[in-house]
Amino acid sequence: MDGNLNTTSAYVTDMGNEERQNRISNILYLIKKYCMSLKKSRGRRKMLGSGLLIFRMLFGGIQPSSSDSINFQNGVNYKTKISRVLEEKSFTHQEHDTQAYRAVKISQTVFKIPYGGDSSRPNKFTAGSKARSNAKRDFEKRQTGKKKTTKPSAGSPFVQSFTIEPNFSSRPNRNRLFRKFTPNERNPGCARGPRTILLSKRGADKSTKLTTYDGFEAELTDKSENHLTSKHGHNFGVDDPLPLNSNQRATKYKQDRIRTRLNNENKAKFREGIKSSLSNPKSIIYPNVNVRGIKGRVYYDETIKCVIVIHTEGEFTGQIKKAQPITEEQLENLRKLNILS
Amino acid sequence: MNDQQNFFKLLKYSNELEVNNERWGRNNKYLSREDPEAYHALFKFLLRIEDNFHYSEKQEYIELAKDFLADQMTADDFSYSFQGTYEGITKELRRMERKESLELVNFLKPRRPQLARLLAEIYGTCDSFSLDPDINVVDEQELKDCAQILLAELQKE
Repeated sequence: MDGNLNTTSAYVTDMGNEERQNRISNILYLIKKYCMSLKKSRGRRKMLGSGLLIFRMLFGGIQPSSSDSINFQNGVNYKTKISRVLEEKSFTHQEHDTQAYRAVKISQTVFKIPYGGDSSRPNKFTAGSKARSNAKRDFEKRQTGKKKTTKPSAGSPFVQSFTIEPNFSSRPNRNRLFRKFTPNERNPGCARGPRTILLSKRGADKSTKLTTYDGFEAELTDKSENHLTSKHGHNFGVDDPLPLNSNQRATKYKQDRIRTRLNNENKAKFREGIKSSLSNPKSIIYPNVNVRGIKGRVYYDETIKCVIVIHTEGEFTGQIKKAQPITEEQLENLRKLNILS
Repeated sequence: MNDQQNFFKLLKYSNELEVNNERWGRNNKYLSREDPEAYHALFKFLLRIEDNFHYSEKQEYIELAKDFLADQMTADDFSYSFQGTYEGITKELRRMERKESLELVNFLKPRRPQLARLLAEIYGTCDSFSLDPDINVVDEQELKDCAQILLAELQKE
């Protein structure tokens, strides 16, 4: 083998120009390399091929011919086709995932929406991405009963941004619109505060359960409490009068102190006053009194000279409908006639 | 012992009990329980005084009724004003009783039961009036009728 190579190199050196010498030195390098490979017993066919390559380089250059180029391209295309076929065949073994995969592949090409920015990076907000996430979600749905191998999808931020969650409703402060109105303490209005405050939602008449000292159950509704606090708050220990209205007459009997300001604090004080009178064991009970045509149970608190009336018949049975001071005349009617006007 | 002396004696007894009640806490002793007979005697005096005290302030009621009937105030304002006047007079009377004021003698006249009952009824009517339709059981016309009757009753004497 070595003798054959030497004769070849002697023939090449006879050619006499520099270019050929350079080529020859390259050829010798290659020959040595192939000789080493031959030592590893790759076979004679390879040695023949390398010899042909050497001669082509010596006499025809190393550029491949046009026909070779075509063959090379064809070879590449052929290999690519084979790989795609294999790839598709491998997916057919997965029963349901094929369609999803195809949908993803199609979506990547058909539903691609042009957008700005770096086009080389995948964008999360494209229709293709959404289709991919849908396919993934469908796949996960079908995996019911199987153990999850991947973490659940965090979901598309696009979808999340339009998801209505109870914590973040679409209308800010929606629930606050119908909440209780509380006065602004920094802006109390004229006369040290608003004259009336809407204390609860309309239609929702809350009530307080009260028990008298003799075990009788009574109910003080929110509306009755508003009415009675405004009319008789001052008789039950609330000292927060409203000034006169513009068209009201002032008299020497300080009638301007009759109307009590309505707020939660005053109502609570009034309620405590009512509770105190009802739980006072010294209060005198008149169990069957005609109160403007309706039967009622009257508790007379002698200490503050006030009466509290609980209806015992009609629409408002069990409710406290009167809580007022009582004069000697009214007390006389109550005692003798069982009447309270 | 005449009515005046008897009245002040009973009033003093009642006030002493009430002063003790205030000093030692509520619900201790009342004349009505300690001495019912004395209480009823005192109560009759107080009814006479109250009737006449209200009558003495009839001009307040007359002007109030006139203003309301002339639509110079709303029904709501009339209801509060009437209650304020009625309670104010009662309150003033209680203050005089606690002080055992000699002025009370001026009202120890025969009763005016018709006026007293009318005033008490109008007070109850005003108490039932409300701007809240769910609470209100008295309308404005009923209040005007009351004002008309009161005016007629006070002006006939």
